[in-house]
Amino acid sequence: MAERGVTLEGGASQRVRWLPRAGAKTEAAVQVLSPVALLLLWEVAARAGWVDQRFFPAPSAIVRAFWDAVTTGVLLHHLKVTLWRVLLGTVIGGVPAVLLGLAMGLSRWLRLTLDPIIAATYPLPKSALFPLLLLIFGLGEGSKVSMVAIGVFYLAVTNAMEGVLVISPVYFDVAKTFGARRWDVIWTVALPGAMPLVLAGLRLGVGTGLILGVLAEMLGARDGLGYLLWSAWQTFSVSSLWATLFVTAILGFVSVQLVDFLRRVLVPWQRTAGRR
Amino acid sequence: MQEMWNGSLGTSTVGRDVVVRVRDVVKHFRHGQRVIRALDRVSFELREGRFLVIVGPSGCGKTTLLRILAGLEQHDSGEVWMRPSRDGHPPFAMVFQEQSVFPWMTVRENVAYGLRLRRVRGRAAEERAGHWIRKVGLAGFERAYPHQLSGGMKQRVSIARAFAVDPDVLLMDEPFSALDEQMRTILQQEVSTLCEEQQKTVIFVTHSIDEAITLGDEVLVMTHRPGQVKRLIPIPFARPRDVVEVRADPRYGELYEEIWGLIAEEVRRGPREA
Repeated sequence: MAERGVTLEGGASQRVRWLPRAGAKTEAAVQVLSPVALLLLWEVAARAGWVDQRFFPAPSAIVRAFWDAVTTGVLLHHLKVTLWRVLLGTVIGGVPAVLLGLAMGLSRWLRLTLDPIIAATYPLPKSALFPLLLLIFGLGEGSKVSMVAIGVFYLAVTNAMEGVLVISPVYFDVAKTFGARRWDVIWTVALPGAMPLVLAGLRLGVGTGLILGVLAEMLGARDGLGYLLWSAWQTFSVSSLWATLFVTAILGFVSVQLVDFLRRVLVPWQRTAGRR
Repeated sequence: MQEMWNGSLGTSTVGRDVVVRVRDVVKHFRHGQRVIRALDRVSFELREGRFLVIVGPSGCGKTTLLRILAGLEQHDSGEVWMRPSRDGHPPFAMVFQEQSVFPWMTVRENVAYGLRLRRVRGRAAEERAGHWIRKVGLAGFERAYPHQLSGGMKQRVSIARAFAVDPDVLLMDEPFSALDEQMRTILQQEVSTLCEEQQKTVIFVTHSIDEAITLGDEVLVMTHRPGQVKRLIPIPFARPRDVVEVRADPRYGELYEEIWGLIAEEVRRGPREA
């Protein structure tokens, strides 16, 4: 009915669509099935010899290696070691960083004194520090934990400071007019106001801490996931290399989820804000 | 800052029912190399229970004056005196122009904020906060966070927070300027009624002549920078008032014209640099 160039009705619905819009269930199914399809393809490709099995062993072989490592307790042992290092490093690096960052946000003088030092050392690749840390702490836990701590520290300190600085001055004015003392201001304005960025910094810090921790384990440790990855490469047991990689990825995912959980608990006022 | 409210006025005597007294207050701002005089020998007195509205062209220093009274800025010379409260706490509470309700506190925590700083805790704090939440019409929103509230509701929280500490003096810095007209009229009526009922002494800064006449017992018109008192105009309407009926009164139009004339003169003249 409509002549060329004159679209009178149904203009919007005439957009070209390759597939009809599916229901939510179908969409969820696609999201689950696509990785499964990839794994299947991989399995077939490996068995058929389309890809080099030495580098890309079949998923079934990886699962077997994974299962062996789990049942013998090897994987869990090394996972526990790494987990402990990351946790300890996060606490040792994170807690002082958050306190220092908040103090720097509140005190102009502290900021003027310390910010140049932090800014100057921040761009240094933290991994470059590892030989020095080995020298100081030896091959024991100290060198690995301090590596994680350094990674967490920088991101946590700058974010905590920024967290205080972005608080609108009117909130400090409100506190003052109600007669707040210094501690009241810190407790009721600076701390909660900075909390969203403190946790954002911690989230990034845990990610970086994990990277540095695993790296340090590859270079100078006798246990931990990094060590396991490195020894898998040295003994050319590719399946366990993949299995360990998988576990490391899960560890990263879970630790970020943990910080996100902490955020939902500590920053409840943002739970529904801006996330519709 | 604390001393200001407790300090004596030196040699001068203060009338018995005077609550706020400002004398020859001068304030400068440094702007790079230049020094700008923001306030020039501003003086006024406010008796108990009076509602003073300060209007003037923008940049006349009316907000600065209010911030000096609140102890948020220091004046360079002159005297600022506010009758100390019996309990040693600030004798005033302030309602701010912008969004000043803490986003990290619920409505109840926000309203109870001043009480918390005064170490009022437990049931007493709960009851007083609850009373004021109901009073400003926010019953049922006690546990809501500010981002779940409209602009008008947030400003109600801010008003309840100020009233909850039962201050002698209320300082209000353009509290309704960010609201739409209907909400503004509704809140003007509520604030007018509450201040009358609670016998508050109020200093209210606005750029709206209409708001000044509607709410004030007296209107202080300021000059352009440096801000001086241009004229103090008494508003003849009795309180309690109906903010809509007042606008229909023939005297409203005359007052509007008079105040507008004074402000227009200043706007045309522009700032006089000192």
